[in-house]
This record gives sequence, C-alpha cells and structure tokens, in this order.
Amino acid sequence: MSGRETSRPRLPSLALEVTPRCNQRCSYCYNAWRGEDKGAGAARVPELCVLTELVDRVLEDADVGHFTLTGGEPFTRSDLLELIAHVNGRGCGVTLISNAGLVTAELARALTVLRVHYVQVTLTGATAETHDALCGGGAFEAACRGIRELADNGVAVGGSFLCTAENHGIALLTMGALFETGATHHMAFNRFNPSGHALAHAARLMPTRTQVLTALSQAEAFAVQHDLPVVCTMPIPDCMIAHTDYPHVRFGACSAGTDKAEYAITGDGRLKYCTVHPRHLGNLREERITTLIERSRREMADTRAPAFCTPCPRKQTCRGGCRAAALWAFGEPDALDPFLAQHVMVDYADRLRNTVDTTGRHQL
Amino acid sequence: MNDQEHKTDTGGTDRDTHEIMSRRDLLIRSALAGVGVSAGLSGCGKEPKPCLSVSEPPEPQPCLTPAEPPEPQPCLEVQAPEPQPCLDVASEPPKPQPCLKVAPPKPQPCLKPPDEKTPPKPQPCLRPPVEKTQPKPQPCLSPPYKPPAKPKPPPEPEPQICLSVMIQE
Repeated sequence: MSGRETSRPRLPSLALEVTPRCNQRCSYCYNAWRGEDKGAGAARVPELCVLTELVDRVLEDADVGHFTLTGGEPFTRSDLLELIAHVNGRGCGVTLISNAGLVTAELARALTVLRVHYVQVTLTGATAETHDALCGGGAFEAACRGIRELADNGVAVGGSFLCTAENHGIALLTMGALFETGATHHMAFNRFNPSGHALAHAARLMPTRTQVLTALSQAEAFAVQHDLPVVCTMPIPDCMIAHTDYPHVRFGACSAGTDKAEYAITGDGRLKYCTVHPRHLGNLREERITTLIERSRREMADTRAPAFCTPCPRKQTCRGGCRAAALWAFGEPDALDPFLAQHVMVDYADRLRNTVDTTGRHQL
Repeated sequence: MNDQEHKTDTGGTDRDTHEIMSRRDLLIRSALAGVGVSAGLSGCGKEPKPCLSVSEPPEPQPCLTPAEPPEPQPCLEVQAPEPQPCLDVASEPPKPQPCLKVAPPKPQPCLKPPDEKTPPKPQPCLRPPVEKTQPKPQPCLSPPYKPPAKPKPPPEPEPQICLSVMIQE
C-alpha cells in the first residue's frame, strides 16, 4: 500500500449544500443565507457541473460513506435527480434533508431507482396550526403529502422533531404523526439551535433544559411504543442531562474536527466543520480536502474548552455542546453552547441580544 | 417538574441552574475519586476518612459478652448414659453407669486387646478423628471489610453527526 493510500481519509458522511433556495421560511432555520436575499452577498444556486466537479474532487482524495444533500430545500433543484445519479455513479449513496413539500408522486417514483438511503423530514407539530406557526402557512399539508408519496413508493423516510420553547410539550404527538404518515426509517430529536437565521429568534424559541427534558421523556415513550430508537442529533452537554434516564434515545457529542465529523461543502466549494458552523476551512477548488481536514483537526486541537468546562473530566468528549452555536451566539470558539449558557452565564441575555443587534448575521 | 417555570435573567430557570451545577460537581467528583483509587494512593472511599489512624473502638458485640452459666447438664448428675450398642462385641451390654459415680469399671469389651489373628475391627466407640476443616465464619464477628464502591461515572456519548442520522452501510 502506498503512502498516499494510507493517508486517504475516510469520511462517514459529507454534507453538500446544493442550493440556498427554499420554499419555506422556518423560524428555526440554521442557515445564515436565505434564498430570498437579493444583495451582493446573497448565495447563488450552484450549477450542476459545479457540484459534480466538487464531488469528483473530494472522491479523488477521500473515501465517503455517503453524501447528505441539503440546502435550502434540495427539491427546488430541477436537476436534483441528475446530481444523485452522478454521486451514485461514483459509488456513493445519498441521504436527503428535505421539508418534503415539493415531493410529487413522479419524483418519489424516480427516487426509487436511485441509491437514496432515506429522506429526512422535520415537523414541529402534529397539526397545521402548530407546524405552520414555525414553518409558514401550508407547510404541514405539503410535508405530509410528500412523506406519503415517498413512503407509498417505497422510499425510506426518517422523521425529525424540532424542539422549541413553544412545542416541547407535543413531542410525542408530533413523532406519532410523522410515524403514522410514513416516516418509519428512524426518528430524530433535534433541539432548537440558535445559529444563522435562527439566532434572531433565540429569545422566543430557545427551550430551557426542563423543556427539553420534558420532550425527551415523550421521545422515550415514543421509542418504546413504536419500537423505533430515537436519535438525539444535536449534542446536549453531559452536565445538563443524565443520558441513562432515556435508554431508548441515542445521544452523541459534537463531532466537529474528529474522524466522525460530517463536514459540509457550500455551493461555491468552501468546506465547513458542519452545516451549522460559520467557519470556513478553505475552498475545495483551491485546496485538497486532505489539507482542509488536517487544518480542521489542528484548529480543534488548539481550541480551548469553555472556562465553565475546565474542571470537568468530560470536556474532551462533551466539548460543552455545540461548538457552532457557541461561535454564532457569542463570536468566540471557546464560548459555551447557548443552550447551556442560558442557565449558567450571568450576562447571557445581554450578550446574545448584543450579538443579534450588532452583527445581525455573521460573516466569518 | 414544572416546565412552565418562568425564566430568570439568564434566560434559564433557577431549578435548571441548580441541577446543572449539581451534576457538574458529580462528574468532577467521580473523576477525582476514580483517579485516587486507580493510583492506589489510599484505601479511602468516597467519604473522607482517616486511613492510617485508629478508629474508635467498636461497640461491645452481644456475642462477646460473657454468656450465662450453662444450665446443669444431665450428664453431670448421677445419671446413666444411654446404652452404647457399639460397646459390646461378645458380652451383654453393660448396665447404665452413672457418669461420675465411683464404681468399679467393668471390663470394657471394646478395649479388650484384639485377637492377634484377626484384623482389628473398626473402633466405633473411639472418639472420631478431629476433622481438619477450616473454621466456620463467626457470625458474631464484624463483617469483612469491603472497600466502598467507586462512584460510577455516567457513560460518555460518542461523537456523532447532528444534521441527520448515520446509516449502517
């Protein structure tokens, strides 16, 4: 085996942001850019050839388990199926993060002949009233219709409940609605994360620890009732929760900069620690992915733990929660995850308000 | 738990803050205790206690107090033992003999020298050999020392992706 082969990184998953456009206007969206932006800094929809070239460049240097196609809303691209076919042709499957609102029967049937592991769809409520309050009018009906089309045509659908201060009490109802509609591949529990666009809504939507625990108790009940494990996708610091209280919920820690990281590629080729993270490591059109990954690991190794976590033996693995949210909320890489900070940082509200007021949106 | 508890100035709740700080302390204490035990620095457990000094003498145990004098045993009176069937090989069984009465002992058949031509028969009337067994545990003694259990730290979550769910390829 040559030296080059031994240093070839293995990425379990790599996110590709295929478009900034979206058919919804969700309050909790972690994307900093929005499709409606018209200014000079507005993100552009990358051409198909740009995306396929990025995929090819990555696969020259790294093994990728699968690509996670996200956006924006991936189904706003009319050539999405061609992109999936290209990725499949390079030996990789895909997963899709979608609101399912644009899925038609024809699209669903077309997906069945491609290598799509699953489509993950988020609901924030079990009714139009509760879901549309966060996602906009008509979103609930469209999402349910799309999930049914996918499921009826044999495409695996995973559900995701996004927990906020407003809907934490209906986790079980919402997960049940997702499951009954056809999202039976897996169930994700996602808590509100004040990043990107969502930062401006943190004061209203950020759930407290108690509210998240309430929702997790319901997620545990759902997992038992439906014999379907729930995966808590956003990390919750070890000091905030006894994970063993929820034996049917799987928890994890932030993987940014580790060998389990899910890096994200923007439409113009920049590599980020993850989809939520505001920091760009470099551009794949100018540097190889191996160089950027090495840079990310060096940077993470040099990043100090938040001061609050210094005496804690778990700081290396727990990392004080979501590093991306800390950077979004407080502008410092070694700050606390705002989900934890709201309970232990004395001037939390002032600092968060200051961040929102003065920067609006970060351009790091 | 009241999840409608209103938020404090920090945005969270007092109860949540208290729970977080308590759990953080638990994690830190667990790690400290783990280091102490694994390094063999002391035999102390979770609670601080002197390891080398002598502790307070134990309370008198009931089983160590002088027992009541035993009741007079019937065998100390002038009472005959039960007939021993093993005592006789040839003659009739001896009459009951008072234990301590001074009476000329009758010839004890079982003590008669065995016939040289015949192999010695088993002597069931002799005291059985002392069994070389381990002394049984004395329930009245204090239980054996058990080191205090090491505080068990909660499991650590592995890194994972947070956008979606990892697939098993």
